[in-house]
Amino acid sequence: MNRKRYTVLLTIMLLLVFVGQALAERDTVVGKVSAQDWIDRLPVLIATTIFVIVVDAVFVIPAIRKLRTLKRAQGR
Amino acid sequence: MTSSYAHIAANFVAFKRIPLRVVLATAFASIVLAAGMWIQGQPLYVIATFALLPWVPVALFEGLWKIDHYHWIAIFGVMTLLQLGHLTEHVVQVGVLSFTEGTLVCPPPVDTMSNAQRAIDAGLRSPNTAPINMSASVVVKPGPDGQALLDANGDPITGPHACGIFGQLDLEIVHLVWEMAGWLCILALVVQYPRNRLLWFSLALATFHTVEHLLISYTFFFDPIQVYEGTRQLWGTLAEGNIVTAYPLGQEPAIVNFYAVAGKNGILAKGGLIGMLFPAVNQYLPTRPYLHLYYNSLVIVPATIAFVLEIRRTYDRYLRKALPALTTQEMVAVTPRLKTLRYKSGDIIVTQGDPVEAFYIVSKGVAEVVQIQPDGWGKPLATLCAGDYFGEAGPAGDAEFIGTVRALTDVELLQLDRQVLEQILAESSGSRLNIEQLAVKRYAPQAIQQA
Repeated sequence: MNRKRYTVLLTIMLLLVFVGQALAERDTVVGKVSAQDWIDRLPVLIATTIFVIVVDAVFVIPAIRKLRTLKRAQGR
Repeated sequence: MTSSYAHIAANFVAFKRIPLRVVLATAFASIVLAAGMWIQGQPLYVIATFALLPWVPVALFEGLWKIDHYHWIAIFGVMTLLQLGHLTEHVVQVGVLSFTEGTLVCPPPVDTMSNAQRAIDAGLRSPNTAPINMSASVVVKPGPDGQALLDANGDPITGPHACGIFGQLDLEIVHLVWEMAGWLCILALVVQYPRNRLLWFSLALATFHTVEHLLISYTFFFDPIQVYEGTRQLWGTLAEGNIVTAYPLGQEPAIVNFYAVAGKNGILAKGGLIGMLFPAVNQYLPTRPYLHLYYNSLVIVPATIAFVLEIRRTYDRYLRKALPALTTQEMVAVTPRLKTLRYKSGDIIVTQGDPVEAFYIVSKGVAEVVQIQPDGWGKPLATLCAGDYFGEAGPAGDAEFIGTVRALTDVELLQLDRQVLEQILAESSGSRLNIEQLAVKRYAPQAIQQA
């Protein structure tokens, strides 16, 4: 089986699992809060996301540079 | 020269630091301890803890050896192993929830004085039995009113807790530390293996998962104001031998914090941020145990495949230090053929005049080469440290050691058969040149002396 077919099959299987589980759990009631409670906490989410992206960038930028160097060396 | 993938992988996984007799003794101790706990009627988490305990020092020393010799790929291996353990906990949790009458009460109630007293007050437990302070491994399912759910025969529906094998560790701080450690490890690995696309995929998911856990942990640690109406489930505990059963004994109204009512669901789980902002989709979102199994699968499975792929490029860094002119492919092919030898301080490793049958690379410790002169005086020729080698033939193809090599400290060597070395040198002109230059340097004074 080639990689493309394998990826499609895996994606379909994952979607089936997601849908099956969502249907099985659709009547589960969780929590008794309003949307406003979550909206109040959105700044925390934004700050957390920025923090994680900054830490990611500290590693990802050197990784991309290394990748470019490797590709350049391979191209020579 | 090439080595098959199986040969390379088997070499990487094999115990190199720990002798086989120690591994067998550890396996024996692990089985005996687990069997002992099982005979005592201990719960699964105690049996698993005792089965794993003897392996901790073995894994630590072997892991440190592998990190020293294989560096990043060993760190990758350690991370993969730990995260696979984490994934196993999630799989067990969801398996218990889906296929048994498992109850999501994490961490499980403990047989404390207050829980035991509650069971005594309900007439479920004899007043003469003292609490044993162990976690419940059996849980009676509570209904919406917090009382035991009964089956058609009127018996309480009983099953395991759905908190994984080590349910006592099902704490927000453990989740946070484990996720962040995994995320930071993947970040460091992406720098080392930037060409591995699966690692990039794993990183994207790990990043999102980390945001989820940071938000959940924020609500847990920094959002403590109790302003929401909620309930608290009451448990009574019964102890039979070492097995504790948690029995639901109703609910009491309680004012709880945001974490308890919604924060623990994070961003994507049912009742979380997305579900509350878009109520139409909430019913289709997975609850937290299922969602976090998806996250972990999507992070750990690609990372594990990425690790399996990277093993193909594993080589011993002391080989590289000794023979830097070898290509990566040559080092990968040679590494499985290296044998590890150990000597105590003061041991004679090879004796002057012995035939040279192997090539040796020092990977740890210090050794000295001493040449015994005709008058019996030992002339020091060289001091060998990590990355140095001996056992190369002389410029004229001499195949005898020109001096005695003695360990000055505890020494570890990597041994390579002479035929393999000859094969490498036939393919690597750079390494042949390096070795020949060193041989000339080492053998020239001897040749002058003989002349």
